[in-house]
Order: sequence, then C-alpha cells, then structure tokens
Amino acid sequence: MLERYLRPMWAFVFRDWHLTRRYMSWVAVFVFYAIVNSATIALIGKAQDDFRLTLTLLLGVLLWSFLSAMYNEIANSISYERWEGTLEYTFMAPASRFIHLAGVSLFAVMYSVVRTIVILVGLVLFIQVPVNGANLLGVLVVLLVGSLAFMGLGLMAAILPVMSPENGAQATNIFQGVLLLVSGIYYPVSVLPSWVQPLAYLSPATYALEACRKLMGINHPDSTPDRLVGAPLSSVLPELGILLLMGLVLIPLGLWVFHAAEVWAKRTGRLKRTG
Amino acid sequence: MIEAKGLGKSYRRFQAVRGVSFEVRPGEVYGLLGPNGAGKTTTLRMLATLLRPTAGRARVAGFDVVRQSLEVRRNLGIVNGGMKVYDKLTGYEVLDFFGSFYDLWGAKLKERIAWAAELLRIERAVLSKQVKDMSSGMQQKIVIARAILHQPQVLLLDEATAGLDVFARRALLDFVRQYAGLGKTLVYSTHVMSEAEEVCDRVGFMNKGLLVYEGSLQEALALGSGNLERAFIRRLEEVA
Repeated sequence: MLERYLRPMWAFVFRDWHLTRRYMSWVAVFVFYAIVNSATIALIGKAQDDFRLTLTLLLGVLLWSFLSAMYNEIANSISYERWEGTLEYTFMAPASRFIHLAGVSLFAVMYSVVRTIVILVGLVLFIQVPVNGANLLGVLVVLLVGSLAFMGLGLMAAILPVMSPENGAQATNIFQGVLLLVSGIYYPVSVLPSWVQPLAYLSPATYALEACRKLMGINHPDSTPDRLVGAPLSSVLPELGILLLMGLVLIPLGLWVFHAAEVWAKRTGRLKRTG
Repeated sequence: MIEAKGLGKSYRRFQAVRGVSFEVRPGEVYGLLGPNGAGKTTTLRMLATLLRPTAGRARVAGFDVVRQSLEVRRNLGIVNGGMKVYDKLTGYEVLDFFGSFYDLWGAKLKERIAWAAELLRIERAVLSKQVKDMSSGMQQKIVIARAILHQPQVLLLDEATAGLDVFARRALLDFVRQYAGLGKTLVYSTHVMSEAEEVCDRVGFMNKGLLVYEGSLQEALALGSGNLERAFIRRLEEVA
C-alpha cells in the first residue's frame, strides 16, 4: 500500500536526477561560480585578519548556498516544466499534488546537500579555518529543521510561474533576493534600516543563522582562532522551535496555496501557455 | 464511457464552448471535427481535467471530471499536438517515469513497454535514445506510448498527426483503429476531414463553440454527397 505512494514520489526524484545529470555541464558551471563567489566573500574576513568575521562569512555563504539551492529547485520546478513543455502532462499524472511536490522537494534537499558539500570542498582550496570545538552536529540539526520552512517558502514561490508564465520565474528571484537581504546572512540584522528589520523576523534563515552562529561559537567571548567554544544544542531550542513551527505552518500553507493556484490556472486556462 | 452534458467554458465574456453534449461508447472512435478555434481542444481539455468547465458536466470512464479528477486521470490518456516529453530523457526513462503513476514497474513495466512498442512500431534501440535525438515522428510515438502505457479505457487524440511525416501519420491512423478494436473509447479531434473519414465511427461538427451536427460517419458522408468536408460546410450553411 505504502509502495503505491512512494513509487510516484521516487519517480519525481529519479526524473529530476536524470534531467540534472543531462545538464551536468550547466550544473558544473553554476557550482564553479558559486565556489568562486563564496571564496570571494569569505576572503574578505581573511583580509581583515578577523577569524570571527571569516567564520561569519563562511557560515553565511554555506548556509545560504544550501537554503537558496533548495528554494530554487522547488520554486523553479514549475518553470522548468514550462520550458520543457511538459507541465500539462505532469499535472495530468494521477498523483496527488502532495506526492508530486514531496518528490520534487526530496530531490531538492538531496541536490542541495551534495552541492553544498562540493562548495565546501572547493572553499577549502582558498581558505582554511579550524573549527575545533564547534558543535557541527548541532549545525546539521538546525539545517535539517530549517529546510522544512524553506521547502514551504519554495512551494509558495512555485505558484508564481503557474500564475504568470511570462513573469513568474523572475518573481521567484525577487522573493529570494528579499530573503537574502533581510536575513542578515553576512551581517547582523541590526545594521539594516529600521523599517526593514521587522521583515528579518519573518525569514527562517534569520533563526537558522542565529542558531548556527551560537553552535559554532563564532561570537562566544572565549573562542579563539585555534579553539571555538560552540554552544550545546539545548541553547538554541528557542530558534529550533521557531524553525519547526515555521516548517509546520509553511509546508501545509504552501501546499494549500499551490492547490488554490492550480485550480485558478485550470479555471483561467493558464496551464496551457508556455513561457 | 464518455458523457458530456451541456458542457461549457467561458473566459469572462468570451464563450469558448457552449453547451456541448455528446456520448462516446466503448470500442468507438468519435471524431470531433471543426476549424481552428471551434472549441475542440477546449472540450478535450475539460474532459482531461486540465480545464474546469464553467457550465454543464462530464463523466469519463464513469467519473466526474471535476469532483473525481484523480480517477479520471487514472483512466485516461491524452495526445495533444502541443504536449511534449522531456527532451533530455531517453524514451525508456520517459515511459518509466509515467509508468510509476499507474502501478507499473519492474517486469510489468517492461512487458507494457514492449506491448506499446510493438503496437506503435517503435524499435527497442530507439527507446535508449534521448528524445531530442529522435525524429519528430518517433517523438510523437513516444508521446502516444506514454498516453497508452496504462492501457486507459479512454484515449483523447487532439490534432495528433500535426507535424508528422507520411509514414508516422499512417502508423498513427492504423493504431487508432487497432486501439478501438481492443474495446477502448477514443475521441479523435482534427481539422483534417480525410483523417476522420478513415478512422471515425461517428462524428460531431463543432463551430464557434457549438456542436452543430452529430451522426454516424455514413450519415455525415451522405449529407456531403460522400465527402465529409462538404458535409461540414453544408451543415454550417444550414445553421447560419
């Protein structure tokens, strides 16, 4: 019985895997660019000879690399189908939208993990910072919990190409850009203009970063370049709780919004158009 | 097997389909004929659950297209001139992907792919090629194979021969008769009347969103003195 649901979900994972490997040269180009871009940002900290700044920037580029790749994969899944001209037939498949989007999201998580590991390995060529004493396992837990909220955001952004074949894909990038700006990826939220700061509290990346910085011991007064004083997982329970709550709200909300957008597209004939 | 009653679709003030009613029985090929913009594709897209009707109702394989859309999709295949398959996947990967939605995997999937390949005359070696490397005729065969892999009770073919060369077109027309011979229900939508003369048992003429004529192929031919195109024009003149 369970196989009946898991098979279609895996079908989406395998489809995305096959498509990704056939576009491997593009993937390689984008990952290369991401490594160079990340190194450029992280080297700013090294130039300042400030290990805290270097770690803040490194953590920022890696965490953003992971979360944004996952968001992109989910949010752009509909755009890809429009470009391929296959959207209607995918929507015709007798699989619930939950199974469809769960399959897309599962691949997105796997792809983002691998991509982030490759970027991390690439970064080691440019910059080496000891992370002795950091609670890396705790960071992994935060990333996994934070992924849920980003999946929900991705699902909500995925409706944009459903609603507007011409402008939907661009709109997902604007949404992503706003998240990057308000979440304090490379700087404290306090440096943002006061009218922007409230938006930071709506972004899951803000809480994920805050928790990861504590777990890494980046701002701990006793941390030194040779030994960090990472906090235990229990000290970031409030952030974890907020991230979990965001995931529990945003995923069902994302599915509901997607369903509503699909009904609207079928009513107005928007599925047919390609862009 | 297909029942449409007063089916309609409006976009604000524009009525694309206006109160269309027809039935198609198992083993029958029903030709939905008319010029471009007549409302044929919109009608088929409503039957395929890709568009929500604004009036009337329809049942496909016994299921309501609005309230039981998942069941309709399980029992339906559609081939549309504009629908594509993933360019970068091989023929086998395309069929594997879509087969998963119909409980087809392992030996059962292989058996079903072999069946579809034989019916559509697709060589095994072709299935290992990426779709982008296939001829347009072969790509269309993959589209059809995808639509019939689960042996649906109802198959909708919408301008399915568009862009096909003479050999691929011939293979498709032969397939339509073969598939109906298995007791399946087919709707064949086209603006090419000669194709309908060859494969349809009954025909419906659509124009400006209305079904203006319905009858057996023989009755329609008689109306046009042996020519379906003439019958269509004559009928339009009558209702004008």
